[in-house]
Amino acid sequence: MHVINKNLDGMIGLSDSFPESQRPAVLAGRHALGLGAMNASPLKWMSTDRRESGHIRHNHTLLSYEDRVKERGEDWYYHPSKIENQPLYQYNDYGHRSQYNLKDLSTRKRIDGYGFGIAFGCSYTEGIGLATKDIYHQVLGEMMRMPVYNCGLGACGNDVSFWNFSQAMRRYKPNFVVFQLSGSGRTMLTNWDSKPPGIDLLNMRLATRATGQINSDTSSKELDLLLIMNELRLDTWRTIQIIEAVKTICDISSTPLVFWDGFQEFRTDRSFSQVIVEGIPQQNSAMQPVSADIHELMVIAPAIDKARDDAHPGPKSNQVIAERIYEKLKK
Amino acid sequence: MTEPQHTQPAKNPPTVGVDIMSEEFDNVIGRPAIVNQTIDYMNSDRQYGIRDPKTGLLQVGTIHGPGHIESCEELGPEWHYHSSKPENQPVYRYNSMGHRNAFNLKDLPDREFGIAFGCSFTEGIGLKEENIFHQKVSRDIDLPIYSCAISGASNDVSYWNFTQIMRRYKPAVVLYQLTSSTRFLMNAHAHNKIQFTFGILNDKPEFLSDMFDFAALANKLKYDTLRTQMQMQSVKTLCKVTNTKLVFLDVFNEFNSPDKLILPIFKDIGCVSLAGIERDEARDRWHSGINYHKHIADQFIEFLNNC
Repeated sequence: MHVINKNLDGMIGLSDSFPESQRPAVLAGRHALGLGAMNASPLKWMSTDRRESGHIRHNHTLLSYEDRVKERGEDWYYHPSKIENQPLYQYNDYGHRSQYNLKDLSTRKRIDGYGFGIAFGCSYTEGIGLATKDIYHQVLGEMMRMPVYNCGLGACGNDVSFWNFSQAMRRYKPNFVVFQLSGSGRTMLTNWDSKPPGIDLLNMRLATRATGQINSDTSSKELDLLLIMNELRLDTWRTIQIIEAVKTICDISSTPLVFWDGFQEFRTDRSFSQVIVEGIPQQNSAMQPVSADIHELMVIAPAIDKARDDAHPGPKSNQVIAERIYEKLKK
Repeated sequence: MTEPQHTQPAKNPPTVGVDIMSEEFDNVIGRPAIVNQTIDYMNSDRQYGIRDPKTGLLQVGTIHGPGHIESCEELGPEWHYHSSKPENQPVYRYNSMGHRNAFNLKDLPDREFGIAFGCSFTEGIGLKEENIFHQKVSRDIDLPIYSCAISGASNDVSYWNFTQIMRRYKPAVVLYQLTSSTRFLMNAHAHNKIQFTFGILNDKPEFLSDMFDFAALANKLKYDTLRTQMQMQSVKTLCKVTNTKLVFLDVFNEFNSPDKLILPIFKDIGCVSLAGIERDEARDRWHSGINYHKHIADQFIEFLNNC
């Protein structure tokens, strides 16, 4: 559940992490992630960290964490004996996986003339399955010698990242921005027909496709919407709009910017949008006519290894991503 | 009874449909079909309508309902836009991008001009240039205002052009007219260029059907309005970062009701309200008229003075 909270800079965060006093009544007591007080006690597992058996992916069943430990032995990076490598999910006031709050970071006394960076994206950026130290932007932070704020939200689409980008850039002045592109097929919707009285929050949810829950007429309509958007390429077109706007705002504010094409939608030799129904990528890139200068800002990275959950890029992959982003920023 | 004079256009109005974003236009969406042209009718100026087979008069569809048509000339010589009054007739001048301006964007000095985005309302279909709201604002604040409006455009089009223009130019003022959230911009990929269509201009029935299905679903799920909200937030951010004065104009009254979802984030966004303004009509009897634009301009000026 993601919520825009005007008390928290109008940014979208995980509502479950909000303090009780700021949590809307309709959400109170909803602990889908098993999180009563995320701030007080950091989590060892997230719901998107696929430790559980039974998750189907690519026609096979993922093994549970315990089974993988048995199978891979003590050498496995995530063996329980290696406590320092285990993810620990710590969320701040905004519901972002960050040890500090954005407003504190922005006023933090700058050391050696450096300020802070900020990274937007989905679970790749949130770092699901990774220890904080292994997430690409934290590796990058070490290289750049400055803290990097993690604005990643698991499962989110580019519209969520863009919303938060718009809110953050209006209020703060980061030294650089990393904008990790998620799948264009992911779409943010609102599920309140009207604003409930007494609630200052705008409730956001992901469309059915992303959540995998098709159990009502509304869910069915959401899936239809996504399919038609994909068929008409409106999803990719929306991402292109977002890319252009992000570039403009960064250009104007003289903020160095790097895109990470996490889902490789904009590789000119491949696809521009994976078609949801057939799973067949299109042949040509719609980015071409407008992307000459944007491709210069874009990095892609190979999947070298996997995180603890076997679904997200692992530490080595994140290291490569960080290095490539660093090279772009240095330019 | 005197025989009504027929309004005859000098030539057939150009069909301005598919808009192309091209490098020549700095990736701004413009209209190559009417670049550097001056014409007396636009195809969206509905006085140039279907000729009534019985009377031979040019007819215009009105807002009175489907199938209701009437002849403008039957309104008689008192009518402001009667053909006996050539001084009141709109003339459409288009610049090198196909925007309705007497000048080009690149000729305007940084921070010494304003810019208006929107659809036919801002383009001023049915109105003389001087009567469009942004031109009255221009006179009052003593700054030229560039019209980037495109008739029939959705907020997508305005937003795209806003993004491209703000990257390259530095206006002092932005007047951002919101159009209906139910309008969508499509991209048809062909010949390694992105072409933009508005659905109805495409002759493929399947494409049309999908387009309508999408628009209906988006409306049902309120995705259309949510998308507009995202654009508004981004526009506000960009203007704040660049210290550019910004006022929205909510022509379609989508965001003025207390129960609208925009409210929680709307309070800090300046938006001209149309409530209480008596509406008059432009020449095409479809778009708003001179007095309406004047009232809107007055509100804009008030907002700008308070920015």
